[in-house]
Amino acid sequence: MPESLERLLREVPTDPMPARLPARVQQRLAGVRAAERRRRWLLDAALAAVTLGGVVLLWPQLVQIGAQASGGSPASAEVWLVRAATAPAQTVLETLTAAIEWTGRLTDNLGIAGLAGGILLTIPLFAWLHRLMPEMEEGALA
Amino acid sequence: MEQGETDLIRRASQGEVTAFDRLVAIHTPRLYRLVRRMAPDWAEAEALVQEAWLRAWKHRQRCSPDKPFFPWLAAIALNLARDEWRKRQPLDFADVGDSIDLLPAEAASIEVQVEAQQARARLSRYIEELRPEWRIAIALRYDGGLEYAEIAAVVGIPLNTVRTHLRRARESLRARLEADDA
Repeated sequence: MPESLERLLREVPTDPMPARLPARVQQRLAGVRAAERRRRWLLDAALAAVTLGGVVLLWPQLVQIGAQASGGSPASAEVWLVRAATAPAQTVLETLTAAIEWTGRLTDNLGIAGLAGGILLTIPLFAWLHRLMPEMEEGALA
Repeated sequence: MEQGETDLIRRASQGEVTAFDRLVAIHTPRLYRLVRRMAPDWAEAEALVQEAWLRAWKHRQRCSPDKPFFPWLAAIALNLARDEWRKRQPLDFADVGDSIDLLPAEAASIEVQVEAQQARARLSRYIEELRPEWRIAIALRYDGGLEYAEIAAVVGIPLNTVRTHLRRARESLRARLEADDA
């Protein structure tokens, strides 16, 4: 054997690389990136429409909830604190019972449209959370 | 790894198009040489190279600027090549021995150079006929220029198995070349 096998192996010929292969790869990548941009734009537009639909459906209920939630004052808070200091167990129990009744009234008032609006608003929320998540690892290197 | 390439990999992994395209220009010739050794013809080699780059772009965030880029890219290409092979026939990755041996080097003369050229052409054919796992090791070592540890990481096998595959592959190739000479 005239040369070391090691050296021969380093010099084993292969077909020459097809001309302009790097350019063709870059061209395909440009196509993939353009498709990615279009897909992202369409998804953003769809999510914006879903968000808008959710807000429109939920708006009347949000206004009602706002009206029901308002009405507290520093004076009523002071009364609550005095009662909590004198009879803490009873005050906490009454407060929790009132809170449960209040949330029950809120969901009763929501209606089908309100629930649909809430569901619609969760879709863009999950899409946004999905984008925040790091890419899952599948293998050690690839 | 050069500082310039580290910066290029960091920018490419963040999605900078010009940095990624620069990596394509730098590494495609070496990648083609590596993949060509594993693919049956140039058309499939080109398809594998293109697919490997598309996958690299898709998973660019996994690429670490602290590590050499080519082994990561080679791993992607190797996985694609193995998928292609599996479509044709299932692979059998056997674990076998250790150590490296070389053939004696002699002074070059014209006759010797012609002989060497013929030997290289024959070697190219014989490599194509090697067992897939040996061919992968030979391609990564001599066409990809990877170190043994890098080959082990790329293929996902122990370092000793890499040594074994290379030793067995070289033994097989040497035996065939010697049979030709006899």
